[in-house]
Amino acid sequence: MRARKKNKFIVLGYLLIVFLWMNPGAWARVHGVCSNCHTMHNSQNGEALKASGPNKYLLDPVSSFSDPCVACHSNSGPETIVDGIPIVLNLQEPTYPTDGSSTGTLAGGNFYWLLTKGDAYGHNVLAIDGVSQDANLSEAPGMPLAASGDNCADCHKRVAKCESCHKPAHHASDTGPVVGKEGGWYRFLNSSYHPSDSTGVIGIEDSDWEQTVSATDHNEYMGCDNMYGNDDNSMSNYCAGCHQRFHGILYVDTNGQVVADNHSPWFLHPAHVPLPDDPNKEYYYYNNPGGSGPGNYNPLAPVARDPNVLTSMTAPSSIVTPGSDQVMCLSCHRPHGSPYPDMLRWDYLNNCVASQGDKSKCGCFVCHTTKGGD
Amino acid sequence: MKKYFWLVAFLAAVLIIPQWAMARVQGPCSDCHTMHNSQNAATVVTGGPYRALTKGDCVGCHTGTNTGSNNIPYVLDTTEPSYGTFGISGNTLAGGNFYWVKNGDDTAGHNVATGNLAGQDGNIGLTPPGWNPNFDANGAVANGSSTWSQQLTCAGTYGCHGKHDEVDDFAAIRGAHHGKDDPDGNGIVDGDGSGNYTVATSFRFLYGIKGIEDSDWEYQPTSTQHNQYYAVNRTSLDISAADSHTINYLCAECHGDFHSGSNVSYKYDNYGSVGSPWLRHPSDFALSSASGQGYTNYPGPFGNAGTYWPGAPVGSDLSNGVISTVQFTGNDDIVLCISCHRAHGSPNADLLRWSYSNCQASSGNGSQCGCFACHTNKY
Repeated sequence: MRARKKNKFIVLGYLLIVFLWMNPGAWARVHGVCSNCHTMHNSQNGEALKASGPNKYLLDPVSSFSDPCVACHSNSGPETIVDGIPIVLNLQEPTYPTDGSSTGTLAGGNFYWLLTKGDAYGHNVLAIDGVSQDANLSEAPGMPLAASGDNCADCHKRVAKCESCHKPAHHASDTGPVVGKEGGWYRFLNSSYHPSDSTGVIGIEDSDWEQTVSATDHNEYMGCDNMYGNDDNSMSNYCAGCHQRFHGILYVDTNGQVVADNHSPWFLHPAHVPLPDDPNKEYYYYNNPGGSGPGNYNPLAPVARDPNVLTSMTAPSSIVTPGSDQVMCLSCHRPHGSPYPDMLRWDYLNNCVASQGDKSKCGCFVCHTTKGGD
Repeated sequence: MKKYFWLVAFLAAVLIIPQWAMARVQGPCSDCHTMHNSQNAATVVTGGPYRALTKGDCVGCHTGTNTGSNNIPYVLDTTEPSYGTFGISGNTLAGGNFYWVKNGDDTAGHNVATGNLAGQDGNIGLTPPGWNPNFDANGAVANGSSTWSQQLTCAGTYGCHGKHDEVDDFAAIRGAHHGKDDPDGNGIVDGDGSGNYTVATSFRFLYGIKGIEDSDWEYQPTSTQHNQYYAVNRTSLDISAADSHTINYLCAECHGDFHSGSNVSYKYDNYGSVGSPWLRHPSDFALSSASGQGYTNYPGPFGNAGTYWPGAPVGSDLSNGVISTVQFTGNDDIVLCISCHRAHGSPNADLLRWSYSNCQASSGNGSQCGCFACHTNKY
């Protein structure tokens, strides 16, 4: 009996080693050869790699884009992971939604459609060559009024740089599975200009950035512990840094009056609010319309986890728990961009037709389970 | 009387043991010279006789296999040397070996023309990458021309060794091998002690450069037996360099743009102080300047923190002689060009001391990559 137990541990250990060996990107801490990202002297074969001078951190320009973040995270082809680097700007159209192939769009979306279709299809990151101020927007919609000064503008009013949202920490030791401060925060989401322990986002990082994705293979996002848009390490309240007035239970009406709200009819789409734990409501049947309970996690319309749950998770979960799991900004949007207006995850204009069509193509119906029809 | 006997015996032993000897050439004359290029009615060296009755040109004399007891340092082997992972466990010396570039890999060494050692670099051409003729405090390399019209040589106008105002290799180092290299007896090859340098009183005949020379040219060096390279922690960002006697300045004589204080870091340009994020790899800066980033854990996976590791050497102001323990004072922990490169050559691309392809971030294993000696939190 003792020998069998020992053998079991040996097998378990072997499986763990094989798993780790097969998943070199199991952690978001950067992996791979240094030369994937760095050049020591901005010089190769007697020529400068970047004529205008070396990049910060000795980053290899990789592509012709002038901003070093963009240069490393872009690709002239459609492949979305190159030398272990997640690509957020492809110059050939990536596959959307991802089909698990090498061209599958990653979780944050892609700036390809911003460049090819227009301002409505992604965040206008001004550091990307060829991207200019959004023609439709003079400031971030829902911008926090307290952050309108010139010093705040590059992050809160417009997206001047990648660092407006990310604070790079590629070599931070994020042994996880939950990535927080020690790991440089989930996907390096913290303010580069006034980083704090409360603004940084916490989450579980999928090893291939959701190039392959399923109910059991995905990112996990931190939900909110307050409904006021205050910093709490949650994904949605980080979005609120620029879109605060789209977010929170206190609605400011057109007269500047604050109207308390945390119930139907909603003034704001209830990001940060848990799916109701009420079998009498359609939301209880998340991803399982007509079923007897909630369905599996659907990466088309992901939910965030209650902070008390997420921080003790050891791996992504397929289970969705009404009363705990929350709606978030990223339930509907891809922050970098998508093929659809408002960088939505799905085609809101053509595929979200009440009681008609293929409801599987409309993420709204993942929560609004009775609206898509049978 | 017996007491004096032991004293004399001790002194004799000291002088005989090679590792304690000075770098001034020693050994039988016949190691290097032939009086008539003739022995037993046969020619001693084909193509001879050579000047100064030597058995060959620079390459000819310095070709061989190092054993740890040879009197001539060999920089070219006729069979592939044993290098190991970092070049500190085999039979190559501190400067590396030209074997690999001679045998066709232009990326693996300096393409020296002397003795037909190598042809023109197929990737780079004649002008060195980063060439900036303003680094001429020790004489103008390539006559200060904007581009090079000739291939690199061992010494001279287009060479690393000797004086640059002599075109010819021999002429550039004339008198150096038998010159007294430490006339002021301070244990440092640093001119006459008053700032006057000859080729003989320059570290490894690198004119105007100072340092402490390991007696066996770092044949299998250790933390206690190694060259000690002179370096100065750059505190002001003058474009040229703070001190033209450093080993980094020697490299800058041909690769100045890789070394310039101009635009060395983004932080300096924007906030008035030097530091991260760097635009250039910070040779000439002390590891302790970036404390808190793991750099004072040097040599990382290669020893206890502070142990000098000859696989990725750091420079000092030489005030403490050959150091075995780096104190991270800012004067003994300075990044060098040759922290990463072997001047003559190595089996690795860019004549690196180790294979850059072994440098895998976050692999959990840093023992194959010298970068991690300083970047101790990256593997």
